Amino acid sequence: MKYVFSRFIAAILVLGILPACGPQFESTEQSGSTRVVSPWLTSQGEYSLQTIELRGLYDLKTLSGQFARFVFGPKVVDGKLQGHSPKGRFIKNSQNEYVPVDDLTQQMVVLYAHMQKFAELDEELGAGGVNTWPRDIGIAVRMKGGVKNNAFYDGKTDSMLFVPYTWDHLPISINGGILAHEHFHSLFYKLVIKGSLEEVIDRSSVHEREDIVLNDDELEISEKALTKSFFGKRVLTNPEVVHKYHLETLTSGLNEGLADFWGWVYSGDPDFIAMSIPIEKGERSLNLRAGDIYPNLPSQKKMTNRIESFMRYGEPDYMKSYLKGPAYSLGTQISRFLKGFTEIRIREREVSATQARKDVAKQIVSLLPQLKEKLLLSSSDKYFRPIDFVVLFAQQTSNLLEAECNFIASVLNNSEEFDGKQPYKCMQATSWELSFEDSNSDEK
Amino acid sequence: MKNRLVFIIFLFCFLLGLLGYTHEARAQDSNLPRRAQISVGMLLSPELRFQRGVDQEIESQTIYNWGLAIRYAEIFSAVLEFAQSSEKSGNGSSSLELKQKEWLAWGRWHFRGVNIDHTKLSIFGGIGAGTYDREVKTTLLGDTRTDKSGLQRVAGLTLGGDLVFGEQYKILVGIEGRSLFSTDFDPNPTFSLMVRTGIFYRF
Repeated sequence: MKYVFSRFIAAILVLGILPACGPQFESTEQSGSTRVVSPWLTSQGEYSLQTIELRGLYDLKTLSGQFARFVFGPKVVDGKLQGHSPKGRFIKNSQNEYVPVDDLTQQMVVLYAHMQKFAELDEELGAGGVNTWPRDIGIAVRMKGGVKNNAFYDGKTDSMLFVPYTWDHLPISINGGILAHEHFHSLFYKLVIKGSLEEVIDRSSVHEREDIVLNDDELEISEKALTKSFFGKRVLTNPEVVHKYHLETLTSGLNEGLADFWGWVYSGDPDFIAMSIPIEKGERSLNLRAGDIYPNLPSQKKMTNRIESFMRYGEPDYMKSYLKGPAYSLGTQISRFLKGFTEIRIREREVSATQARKDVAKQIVSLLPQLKEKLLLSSSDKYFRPIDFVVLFAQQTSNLLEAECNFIASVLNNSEEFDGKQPYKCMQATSWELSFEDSNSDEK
Repeated sequence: MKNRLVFIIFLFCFLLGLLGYTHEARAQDSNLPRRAQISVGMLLSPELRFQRGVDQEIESQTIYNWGLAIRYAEIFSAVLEFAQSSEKSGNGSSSLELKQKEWLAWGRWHFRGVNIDHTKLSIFGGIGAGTYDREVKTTLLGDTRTDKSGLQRVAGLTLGGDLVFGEQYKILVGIEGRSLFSTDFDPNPTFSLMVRTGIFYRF
C-alpha cells in the first residue's frame, strides 16, 4: 500500500504525456486539399476574408505543393533559388479550416492559392504548358540598397520575388492584381523575350534583375560595363545602339502594359496597383485621365529622341533607370487601350465583363509569338513602333465589330505618330477591318 | 470536447493522487507535526520562451506565468500554472493577432537540498502536463474575424533550483529550464528559461 499513490501518480503522468508526444497534429501533417482562411478577391474585385481550398499540397507546414515552392530570403545558385522553406503556422478552427497565425503564413497561403488559380487561368487562355509548376517564389527577399514594397518576376531564375512590404496599405503579396501582373511577366518572358530577343536586349523586364537577389558572385555582370564601353567608344548616337535601347524600352513597355492589363483581367480593379502602391495611382491606373477620350501612344520618333538625349546628356551608369520612365509610360497607354477595347466588347457583344476580359487576354496570348517575330525583325531602318502593336492586335482579332474597329482606329489616329492626321479608317469586308489611307506613308 | 474531458479527468486524478501522496508521506515522518510539512504559495514567474517568431527565426518571447503551489517537506512540490501570451504581425490594412492561454500542472521532486538556518536550497526535476488554446484575430481592411483552436495537449520536463527563505512565511526565488512538448509548438520541444518568485505560508 506504501507506494500505491506514487505509482498511481506516475501512471497518470505517463498517460497524460504520451498523447502529447505522439503523432504530429493535423496542422503539420495535412496535405492534399485543405480549406484555409485567407484574404481573397470577391467577384466585385474587393478583398475579404474567405475560406478557400488549396489543392495539391504536399505539406501544409511549408505550403509546398503542385503549384508553389517557397524559399525564404533566397540566393541564386546555378540559376535556381536556393534557401530554406519557411515554416507556416496555423490553428485549426471548429469548422476544420486552417487559419494562419502570422502574416508570413498568410502571405504563403494567399500566394499558393493565386498560383493555383493562375495555373487554371493559363490553361483557359491558351498558355497552359508555358510555365512549369510548381512556381518558385522567394519571400523576404533582400535587395541591394534595401529596396522594399515591391515584387518582381525574374526570368533568369523563373521565379517571383517579394521584398518586405512596410507600408500600411494592402500588402503586395495579398494583392491579386499585382500577383497576376507578375505572373504575366513569366508568360511574356517565355513567349517573347527568352532566347534570341533576350540576347539583343539582355533583360527580362523593366525591373533591373541584377539588383534583385543578393547573390554575391553573379552580380558583377555587365550591363554597366557594356554601357560604359559604348560611351567609351563615343558611339553616342550610333543608330544601332539607339535601336537597341528603343527595342529594350518598347519591349519593356509592352511587357509592363500587358502585365497591367493582366492584373485588371484577374482582379477587375483598374486601380489594383494603387491598392498597395498609392503613389502609382496617377501613372498606372487603367482608367483614362480626366479629359482624355483615348489613350495617347507615343511616337517612335519621340521615344528615340528621348533615348538620344539620355545617351548624350545622361550618366551612362543610369541608362537603365532613364529608360524606365518611357517604358512605364508606354505600358500605361497600352493597358488603357486594351481596357478600353474590352469595355467596348462588353457593351457591343453583350458578354459578361469576366468573359470579355478573358477573351481579350486569350487574344494577347495568341499574338505574343508573332510579337516576338516582329520585334526581332525590327532594325534601325525599320523600327517596331507602339502603334504597330495596336495594328498587330487588330489583325489578330477576328470578326471585329464596327465599334471595336472604330475604337482601334481612333486610338491609332490619336497617337503622336500621326500628329493630328486621321489615316486609319474602318471598312466593312466580311467583318470590319482597319484600313490605312495615307498616300505619303507606307503603312499597311 | 473529447480532449477536454480527458484532460479534466487527468487533472482530477493527478490532484487526487497528489493529495494522497502528501498524506502518505506525512504519515511516515513522525518527527514533525503533520501540518508543519506543508506550505502553500503563489508564484509569479517571468519566462523566456524560445520559439519561432514571425520572421522565421527562433527568438525569445517573454511570458508571465501565474501559479499556485504546494510544497511538501521541501521534498515534493506541485504547481498549477496559467500563462497567457500574444503576438501581432502585419500592418494597418492586414494584421493577425495570436493569443495563447496555457494551463499546466507540474509535479517536482526536490532531489538535493541544503539547509542553512531558515534558508533551504534545493535542486529539483519534474514533469508536467496540461492544455492550451489559441485564438487568432484576423483583420483585413477593417473587417475582423476570430478563430479558436480548441484545447490542445502539452507536456513538459523541468530542471531547476530554488531558494526558500523564512519559516512560517517564506519567500521563494528560483530558476528553471523547461522543455515543452506539443505537436503544434515550433520547435517541438520548445525550450524556456524561467525565473520563479513566490511567497509561501507553512501550515
